[in-house]
Amino acid sequence: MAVKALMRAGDVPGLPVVCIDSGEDVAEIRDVIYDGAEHKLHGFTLNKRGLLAGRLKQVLLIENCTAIGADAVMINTVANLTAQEEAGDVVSPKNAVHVIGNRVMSANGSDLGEIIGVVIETDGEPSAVGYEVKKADSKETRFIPITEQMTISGENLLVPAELEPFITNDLAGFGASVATYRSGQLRGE
Amino acid sequence: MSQSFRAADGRKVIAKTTAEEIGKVKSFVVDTTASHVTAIQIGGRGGKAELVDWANVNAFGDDAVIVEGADVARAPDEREKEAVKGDIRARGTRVLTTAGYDVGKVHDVMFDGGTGEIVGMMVGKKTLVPADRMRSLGSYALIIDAPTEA
Repeated sequence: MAVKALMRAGDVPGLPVVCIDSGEDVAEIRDVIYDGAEHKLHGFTLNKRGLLAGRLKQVLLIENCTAIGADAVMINTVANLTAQEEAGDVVSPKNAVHVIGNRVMSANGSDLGEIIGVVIETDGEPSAVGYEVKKADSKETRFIPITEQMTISGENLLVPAELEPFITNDLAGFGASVATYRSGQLRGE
Repeated sequence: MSQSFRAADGRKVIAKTTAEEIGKVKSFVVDTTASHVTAIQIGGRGGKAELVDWANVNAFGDDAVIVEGADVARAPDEREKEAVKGDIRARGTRVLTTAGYDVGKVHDVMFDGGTGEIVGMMVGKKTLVPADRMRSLGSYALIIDAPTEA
């Protein structure tokens, strides 16, 4: 069963970070570190576990994540967390560009909506695969795959016109695939 | 002989040297790799938790657990205290796969009554997860291998 596991990056904050070697929850995802200019997911900032617990000084880089599931972000061991100083530029990129709120324009000049979220693929090494966009006059959101040919300014995201046929509104399939995946996991398929 | 945590609840614990009942099986302590029962918690003799190391169990039978003597019962150490308080008990613990999916809670644990080796756990009431898929048991979750994609 090869279901591509997709997730909204916005759903990751709040998930516990759990060590595979100990079964302990060592942190909680605070926010997503995302480089809009490169369309690249770098990792996550962290909170301590527990109600009213403060910010953790460590970050979780994406290459140290074993998996991002619907219920937890898995790491091999607590040593996979990185001190913020060591993570350097990744945590505060010099060319930071706002992604959420950008207007998506196709190269032929049509307005495709506004970016309201980032979609990540969680199979294998987690990476950003698309943007969720919404038109002002529509309740429906749609998904645009990320390509290298995109250009982002902080106000507009310009996408190639050839991309338009690949824009989907298949949100229902997303939820169903998570459910199927979940029961498949338990059955050992 | 295969045993289960659920079925062993309340089973008599008898000292071999005196033939006295020293208490009843209350709970189990499992190692962090979820591969062995390391101790049995005995209840029924006052308020304090007492443990008997698996090494001091002479026989884990269907009707009674035979231990060497009444003096093998001891107080729990730090990690075991958590187990005794219920933080690291296997039963009722949430089960997470290495892919980060919650697949249920541990309903029961099957182990070999001769060696104390854990052979599998019931996740929910219907699914038996074999021991070779288990990675670790902590206060947050039992971690099991995510299925490899076919």
